[in-house]
Amino acid sequence: METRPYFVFGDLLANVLDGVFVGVVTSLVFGPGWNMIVAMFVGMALGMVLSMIVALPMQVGFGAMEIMVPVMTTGMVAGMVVSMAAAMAPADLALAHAARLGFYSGLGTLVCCYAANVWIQGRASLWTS
Amino acid sequence: MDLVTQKKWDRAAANFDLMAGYGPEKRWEPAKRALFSKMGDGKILFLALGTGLDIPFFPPGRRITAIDISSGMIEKARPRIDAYDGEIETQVMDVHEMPFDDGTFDQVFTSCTFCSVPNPVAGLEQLRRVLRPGGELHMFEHTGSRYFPFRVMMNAMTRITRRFGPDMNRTTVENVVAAGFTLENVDHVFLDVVKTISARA
Repeated sequence: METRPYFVFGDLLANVLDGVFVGVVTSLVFGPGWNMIVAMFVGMALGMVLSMIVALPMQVGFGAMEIMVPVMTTGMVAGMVVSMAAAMAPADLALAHAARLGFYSGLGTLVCCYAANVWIQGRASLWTS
Repeated sequence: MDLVTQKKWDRAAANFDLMAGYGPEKRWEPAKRALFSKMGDGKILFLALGTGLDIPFFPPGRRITAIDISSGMIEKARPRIDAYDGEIETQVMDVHEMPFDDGTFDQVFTSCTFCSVPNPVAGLEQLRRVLRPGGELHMFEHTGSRYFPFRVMMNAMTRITRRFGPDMNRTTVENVVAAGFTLENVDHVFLDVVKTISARA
């Protein structure tokens, strides 16, 4: 697990920024007229594409795959959560609410990626036998 | 020579250090230093030197033959080659068509290489050919993941990234075995995506 403060900060910044960005943009695209399931899948794809915009500059400062993989996952999760929330809402989502959902999506995804990293590294020795 | 691949990396050379020179190298420095500390006193082949970002992590005093398919990359690497406290001889070469005799090298090192080699198993078979029997292969590579959602995502990303750079979903550990190497160790640096691989010819 990454413990160097500079890179932990970078991971946090990249995922939270990406979550907020994807959340806000997604809330502008989806609304109450959308079918929830369709919105979910389109939102996930849109979130992944939007995440590339955030991942590329963040990679320069903080790492390659260690940034790209969690950030793309955040984009997928934030896109899914916000698009479904927008489709189910009685009126258009407030931008602040969408940003908040994106923020928590980024935070949650990063924690899950850190946990997955620890779990996978614990299993690594099994794969070489 | 694979001219399409050569052209792609010649184009990438101009901005390669901007994208990969700071964050990724700082992040990977401990794992790379540990891997390259295995460089011995024998004949070493370093595959895909790129702009030489790995050179500062090499132990001093080694004699290394470094190849890359892109002359643009090697040109960019020149200051780092000159600054190295040892000998690095560079050649523009395609891994699929290496003119070295069988069993020329004691060790082969790669760093983020087999995400970009068009035919990875054939490339690895060539590495096994130029290694002496029992010679060592040490790799620092990023690969695809076997886990959802990373696997799905990296398959999707590869459709885009392979146009201007590497594939994100390679199965390099399996390819090493398929090329006839005996796998000795795999250490995961980040998820099951960034890893070091050690094997014997």
